[in-house]
Amino acid sequence: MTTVESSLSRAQPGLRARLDVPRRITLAAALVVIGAVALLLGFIVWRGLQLFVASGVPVAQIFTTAWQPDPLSAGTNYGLLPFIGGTLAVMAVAAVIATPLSVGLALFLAEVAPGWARRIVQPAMEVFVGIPSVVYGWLGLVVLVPYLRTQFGWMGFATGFSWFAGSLVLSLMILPTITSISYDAFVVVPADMRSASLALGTTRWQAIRHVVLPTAATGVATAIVFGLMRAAGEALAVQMVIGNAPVIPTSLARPVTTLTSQITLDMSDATGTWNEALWTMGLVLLIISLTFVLIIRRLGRRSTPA
Amino acid sequence: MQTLEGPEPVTPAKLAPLARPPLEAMSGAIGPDAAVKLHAEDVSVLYGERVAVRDVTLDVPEHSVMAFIGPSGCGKSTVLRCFDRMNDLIPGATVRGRVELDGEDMYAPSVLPVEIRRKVGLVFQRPNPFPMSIYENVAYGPRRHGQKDRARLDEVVERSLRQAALWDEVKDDLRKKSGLALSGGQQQRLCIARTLAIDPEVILMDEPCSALDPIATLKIEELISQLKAEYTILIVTHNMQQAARVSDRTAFFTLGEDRAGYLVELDDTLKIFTNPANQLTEDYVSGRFG
Repeated sequence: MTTVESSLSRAQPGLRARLDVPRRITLAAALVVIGAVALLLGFIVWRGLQLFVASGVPVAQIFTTAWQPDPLSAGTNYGLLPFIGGTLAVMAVAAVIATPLSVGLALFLAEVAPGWARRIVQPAMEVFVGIPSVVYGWLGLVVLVPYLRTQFGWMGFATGFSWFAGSLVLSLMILPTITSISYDAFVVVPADMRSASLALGTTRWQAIRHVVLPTAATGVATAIVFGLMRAAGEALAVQMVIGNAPVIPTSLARPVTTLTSQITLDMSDATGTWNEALWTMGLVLLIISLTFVLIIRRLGRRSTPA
Repeated sequence: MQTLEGPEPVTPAKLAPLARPPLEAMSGAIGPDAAVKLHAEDVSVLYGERVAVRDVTLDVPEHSVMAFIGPSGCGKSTVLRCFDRMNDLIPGATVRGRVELDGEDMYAPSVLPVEIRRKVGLVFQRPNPFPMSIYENVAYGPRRHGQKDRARLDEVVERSLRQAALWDEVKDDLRKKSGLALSGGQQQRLCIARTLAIDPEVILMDEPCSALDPIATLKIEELISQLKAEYTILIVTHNMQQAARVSDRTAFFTLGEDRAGYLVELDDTLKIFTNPANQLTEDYVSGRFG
């Protein structure tokens, strides 16, 4: 082995260096990305901790509910619980709405749809992804919010701006994400598995329910987590319909707020400690995202040995 | 041991040491009065406009093993899958002619394919266990057909695994071990057990040993000889010696000038391999086929 190599490199002295070029280019690209991520993480962590380090706000205070951020007024309190709770709540309900629709659609596309239906729905999904979030927000603002106010006022939708409106708009936005990732999970289930079930005299639905779904389960779970991650990060569209009330979410019909929408709302006014608190909110958002990344990686590991 | 698919002519003398049961015992194993389990009459299968196999007429006697042999692409598997309506799943495939199970038209409008597939099991070319435990693999069919009683399921699983000669190798980790963690030969026997668990009357095997090593192949062949007592078996094989070893009757298919497969000759296995009526069969079994 070694002799072959050395005789080759003797024959062409420049070969080894030339063979090394692709490796160096790809390595450089990897280093740039890793460096950027590391800088970003480091920066957000450092700025996010200033609230505690520089301004001396006790860590426990962010787990309170009162949001009185303006340093110019007396008695500030940086309770982030309404934002954390709002983010999780809006995200969770969005996932509850979007998951059955997306997984159902993905199953339809992967298992049932004839070719022509797939050729219509797949570009439609891509259009869904391509619509800017401000358009979703605008539609929510001029169509959904007034509709909730006028038609469902009796259910407590006093203004229409609400937890439910935010979740509904978000669910539309994460639908394509969950659909396309679950679709991929379904189509990689070998055709053999379905045939094996059908050859045992089961119906097509039984084959889907008892073979395709369990086999693709980790893929579907990954899809949902990706959807949640996208939901946690979305700011603009949610901010336009959610009402932005810094309270702990208790009713789907009432306004709430989220970490992202509060950051976009406050960033032009916030100075000093208030500004630091916004960075801390960014850090919390980052921790939520990283948790999802960890969950996805754990899911990925679990599915590999099968 | 000679090669499994050699170019030399296959003579009874050469087959004897491998034959199981011996060739002599096989001839005439099926009396003329044996009941006809499967019957095909003028069956043609089309994929879209293209005729894949044409005008096949054959009878499979009950409790016997019939082998389908012939070159690749001659429609053996296609004919096989007419008998459990698996061709229905291929878009654009049409089956013409008449196919009967116990004298009844399998393709009558009132017949549901799922009913046929409960009576006619299929073992695939590549072992395809489900990604679940050995127990769940075997219990899959009975569960889907409504069996909920645990004791009954335990019983079916044990019986099926014993019949498939896999019980002793897996009985200690039935529920812990995934079907996918078994060796290729074990996986194929698991697939056979899974089929047996739905209590079929006919078992179709589509080149069940082509992905297996010789030892695993031998085990499956022994199994086929044992299962014959209770089931009617149809096996597609590329391995002529396998056909000679396991089957009572052999059907030879080839590809016509029109690129459609057809049945050349069907006879007792001994006759097909020693004294076939058709020159094409003679050429194929003696290895003179292109």
